[in-house]
Amino acid sequence: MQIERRTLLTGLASSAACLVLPRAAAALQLECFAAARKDGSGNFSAALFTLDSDVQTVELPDRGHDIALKPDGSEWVAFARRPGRFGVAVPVGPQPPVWFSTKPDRHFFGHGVFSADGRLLYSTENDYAHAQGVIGVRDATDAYKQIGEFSAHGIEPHDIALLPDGRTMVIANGGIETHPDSGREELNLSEMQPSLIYVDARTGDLIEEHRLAPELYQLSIRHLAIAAGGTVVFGCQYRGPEEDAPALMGFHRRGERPVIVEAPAETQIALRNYIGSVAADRGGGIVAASAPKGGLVTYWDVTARRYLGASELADGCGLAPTHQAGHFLLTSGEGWLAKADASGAMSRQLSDFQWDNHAILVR
Amino acid sequence: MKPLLVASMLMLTSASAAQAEADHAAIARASLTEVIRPGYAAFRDAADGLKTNIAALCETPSAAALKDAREAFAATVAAWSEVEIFRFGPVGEKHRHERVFYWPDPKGLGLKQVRDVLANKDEAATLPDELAKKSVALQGLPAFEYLLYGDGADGLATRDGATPKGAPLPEIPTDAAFRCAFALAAATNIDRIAKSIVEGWREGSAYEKSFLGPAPEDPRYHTPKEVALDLFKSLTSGIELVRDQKLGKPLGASPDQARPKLAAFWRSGLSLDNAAGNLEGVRALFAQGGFAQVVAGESAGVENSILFDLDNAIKVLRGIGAPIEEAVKDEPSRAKLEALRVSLKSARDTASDMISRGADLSFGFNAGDGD
Repeated sequence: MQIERRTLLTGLASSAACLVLPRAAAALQLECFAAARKDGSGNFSAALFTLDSDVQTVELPDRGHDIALKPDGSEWVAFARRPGRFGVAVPVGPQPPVWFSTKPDRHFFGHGVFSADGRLLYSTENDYAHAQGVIGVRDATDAYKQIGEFSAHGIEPHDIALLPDGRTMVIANGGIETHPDSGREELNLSEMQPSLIYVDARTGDLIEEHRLAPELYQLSIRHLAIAAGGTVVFGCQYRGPEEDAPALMGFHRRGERPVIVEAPAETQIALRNYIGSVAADRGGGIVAASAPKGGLVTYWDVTARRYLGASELADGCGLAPTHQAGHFLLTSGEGWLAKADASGAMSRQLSDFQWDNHAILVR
Repeated sequence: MKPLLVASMLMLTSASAAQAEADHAAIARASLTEVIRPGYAAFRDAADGLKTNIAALCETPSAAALKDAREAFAATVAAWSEVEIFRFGPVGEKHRHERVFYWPDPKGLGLKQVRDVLANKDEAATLPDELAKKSVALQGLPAFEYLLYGDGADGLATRDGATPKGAPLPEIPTDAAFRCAFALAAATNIDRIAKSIVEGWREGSAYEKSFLGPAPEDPRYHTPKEVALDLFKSLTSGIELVRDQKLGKPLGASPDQARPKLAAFWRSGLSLDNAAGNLEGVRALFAQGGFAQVVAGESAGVENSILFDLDNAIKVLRGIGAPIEEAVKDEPSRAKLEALRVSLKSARDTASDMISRGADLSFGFNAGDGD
């Protein structure tokens, strides 16, 4: 009981520091992050937190995945992990959270993004009866009611982001067919069609579509980050034979061809064909990509498109930028919260939670 | 604040870490020699028998030959069921698992493709090399089941279905002759896959080397723990497979909501045997693969209660004595199956807790989740 009170008080104190200060002053303060997680009793939640304490938490009915932040920082949204159907928008302040869900014949893939003006929320969803990916559109000014939907132009849209122009959206279509009746079973590994898609966020119109070389059809494009100069950096998971160990990191700018870049051979193998999340640093010049199966977080130079180094963190997956260029927050399923950079230097602390795949910097 | 389970795991002393590593290596060796190799050898033998029986059926059709072929099919399903829980190793390469057993198939993709091939008499489906390049849904045991038990299968017993030994299929074959030629190609393909899996695990193979001698530079397994984790996962997900997919889905919430056609092998009446076979595989892995000793080390006697639950579940499944479409509508059978699902859950949870503690094995929260 005493412990709970202390948590609450620290939470309130940090809340003042984290939320009330103007954003310009926030750079001097502790960073404030958000992520989904599971506690030692098996309860799921999502939280706004600093490395010192929780600031705001919301209990989730099941496991969460990514968090989307309203551009003005006034609300954050947690999505269910696939094949879940719930989402919750949490205003940063005293207002209650707003719960929403997919249509009955859809489920979330766990990722979403706000429009530049913060009025609309886009989410990647599965129209599983037709094995088609869709982007759900909800009205953030009206209780997140769904007001539309458009095609993701591929199967299994996973991560999604808005380009700096505020109008173009980029979607990572993993290309793997799943159906809630079969749990998380992957149904079409021999016929996968991953793609990187650009659409007009206002109309859903397809602007640009990229597929990888035919021999890389089992390289599922799943996570991405917008880095310096509007470069889209994407991380893949390979579903073909383990010993193939193909390159998993891609770089792309509109109008060009995607470039897939390898890590040094021994690191490439160590990634275990699996990138779990991708994040750009504060300046956008360095991108981190986690490999939870390999227990590594890798760092990449966006301009030079090359591998910089790695940190070791078992089951490390969640990544977020920090206030310091080149430095990232790393979270792990074994409870660690860490700060690290491409030099491999790391400071870390153990928390009471198993942290989920993704994290974001709120301010 | 609540201590995190994984945090305590990080505090293993180096002595117990070395012990854990030795345990993992022992589990890998016992599982390979006592369970995996004999299991796939039995599947290969059954698949070889199926091919022989189908060849005889196509050559000299008769009711007796069709009956023999169906019995060979049931034997092949039984042998497959015991190794179905394994998704790593040679069966995980070249889509072999999906090619042998494309399931679940909620959209009925396999059925549709098989019917299309039959309707069009697509000659490529009668050539094993060509069939192997076609959709995985056309190649495996569920597609094969339709050929032996679906609409028109009885024609296989008539002289219409005959193709003399060594003779090519006529340009315009009868429905039955085409069906039999397709079945023979499918049986040949399954037999080849089974042989490839056995070959992939043989002594001196690359897989054996990775499995028994994992090393940091090895592309498949870096440490004995990773091997043990794959086996542990087969054990727990094997029980979940039976509980949720094989039984839960067809049973539904009530007799009215039952969906027996979601069951594997409902056409041949082998659904419950398939589920029982899956549990036989789990039981073998638990008892002979070294996991029972780990549980016994944690709490002596608990390993026997897990074995009791598994044995009882197998007995109940074998004793239902009716095809699944009848069982799911019959209240006493439903009650037995539901009770069995409850005991399977408790067996799985107990085994999982004790093994993860006793052998220091836990699935990555993020690494294991495929997102």
